Amino acid sequence: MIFNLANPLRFQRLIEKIEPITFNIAITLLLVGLFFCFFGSPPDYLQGETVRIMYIHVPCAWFSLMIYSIIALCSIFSIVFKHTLADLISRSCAPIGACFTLATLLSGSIWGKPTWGTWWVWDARLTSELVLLVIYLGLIIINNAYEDKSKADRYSSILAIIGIINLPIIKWSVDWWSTLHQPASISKFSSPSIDPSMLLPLFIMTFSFFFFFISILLVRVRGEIIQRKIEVIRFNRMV
Amino acid sequence: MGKYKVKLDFFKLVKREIRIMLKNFSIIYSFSTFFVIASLIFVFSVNDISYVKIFYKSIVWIVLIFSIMLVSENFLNEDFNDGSLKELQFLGFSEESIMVSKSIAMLVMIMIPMLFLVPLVFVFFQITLYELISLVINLFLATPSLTLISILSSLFSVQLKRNKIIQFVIILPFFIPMIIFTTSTGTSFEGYNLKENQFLILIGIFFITLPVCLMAGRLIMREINK
Amino acid sequence: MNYFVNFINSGDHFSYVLSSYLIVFFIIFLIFILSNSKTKKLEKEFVNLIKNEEKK
Repeated sequence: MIFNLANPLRFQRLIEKIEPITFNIAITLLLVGLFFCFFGSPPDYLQGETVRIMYIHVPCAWFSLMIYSIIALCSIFSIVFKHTLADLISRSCAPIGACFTLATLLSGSIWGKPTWGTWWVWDARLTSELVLLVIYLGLIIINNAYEDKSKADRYSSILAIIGIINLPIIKWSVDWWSTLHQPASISKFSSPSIDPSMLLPLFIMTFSFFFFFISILLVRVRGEIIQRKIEVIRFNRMV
Repeated sequence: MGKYKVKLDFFKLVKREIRIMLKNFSIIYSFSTFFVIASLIFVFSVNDISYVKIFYKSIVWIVLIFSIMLVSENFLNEDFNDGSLKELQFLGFSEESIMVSKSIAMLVMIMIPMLFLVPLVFVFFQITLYELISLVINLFLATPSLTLISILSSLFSVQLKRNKIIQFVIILPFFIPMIIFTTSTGTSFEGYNLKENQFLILIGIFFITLPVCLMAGRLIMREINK
Repeated sequence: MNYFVNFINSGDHFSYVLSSYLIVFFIIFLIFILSNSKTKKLEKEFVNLIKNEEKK
């Protein structure tokens, strides 16, 4: 099944079917999530109403890391197997990841003002997240810098693999250094330290953002496939 | 026997790089001049020498990073343009050995002028002898990683026309941890307390940078010569 | 509903929360709209190219 879809054309046909569904699911989940964010969840006893920023800040942060992991995985796949679809996905993911990282930084900054008393601190997690944004920007620049697309894909894959070093630093920065940023409240290995009434909107928003990510990714991948087709037609005409 | 031959070939390669570098003396000259002028600009822009005393480490590192980035282009672009990069690979030198030899040559090229320039920093920024010693240790520990990263960055941009700006954008984020740790070291050195210093982190960074840069360099060199 | 009323009356905190939500959704919808418009443009270009090819 997966190898069947590895063909870009077949993948494009699948995208055209899935794309509207994912967008509709994302919007529905967003509306439900927003209802729970504002109507169904209590304020925090310490942070007050500003805790509601968590419902968008945390999913954005998760996705900024997850999208980079996808890019890195696709890059390894692209270098080892030289597969076009992996290149297309990693190329399409970079701007989306950059947007999610920017959204994380901005929402975190706004959350920081009432809770920490400042918009920005040079704390390990914030700095490493900022570095992630810069790496995303580097990837976007390198993707557009070369005229030969396959060369650009190869170079950006190498850069993405080097940038993997940053991911564990972001994830565990709050444990390694004594930082202002609070450590993770939700862990796979222990029960979460958040009340279920706050956990529910967080997860609904996370799923909503996930479907948003998927739908944006599908649109971009479709665009990339069409662009490659156009290039092939133009090249054939020149020959 | 074969093993020794490879070793000998590697030293020949390093010798070749250093000889080429020494022939192009203008690179060393321009590196030193850039270093001095850029440091002076910082000093003049701050005005008050007491601030310079506080920020001397940051100034030295920023100037060093930019001068290394500017110089690194000469090491690869010429080799790429005259085809000797391809020729070396064709002769059977591994990509890693080419990269290491270039880094060693670059390291020598940076270290020789730095030996003469560091006393100048001592005078310009009016720092104490202990601060100077900590700065020199810093330089020796962090410059190998810096050269490796900058050679990698010039490999990235060797096939581009507007390469300088892209080279900076791509690789500057990887200098951020270096800058953080180099400028934070040495503060405990003043009190002769070597236990708590972070020089070990710089060595650690080098051992992370070395394999990553060699692996990435190998991939890029193969891509360049396709 | 009680939670929402308290949230609206929270003054300063209300503006912080609202602005962060607006900024995040603005960024996400912006990338969605930009991606969509870019793809549509490419689709148009592709259709035109195909038509030209058929004419030839």
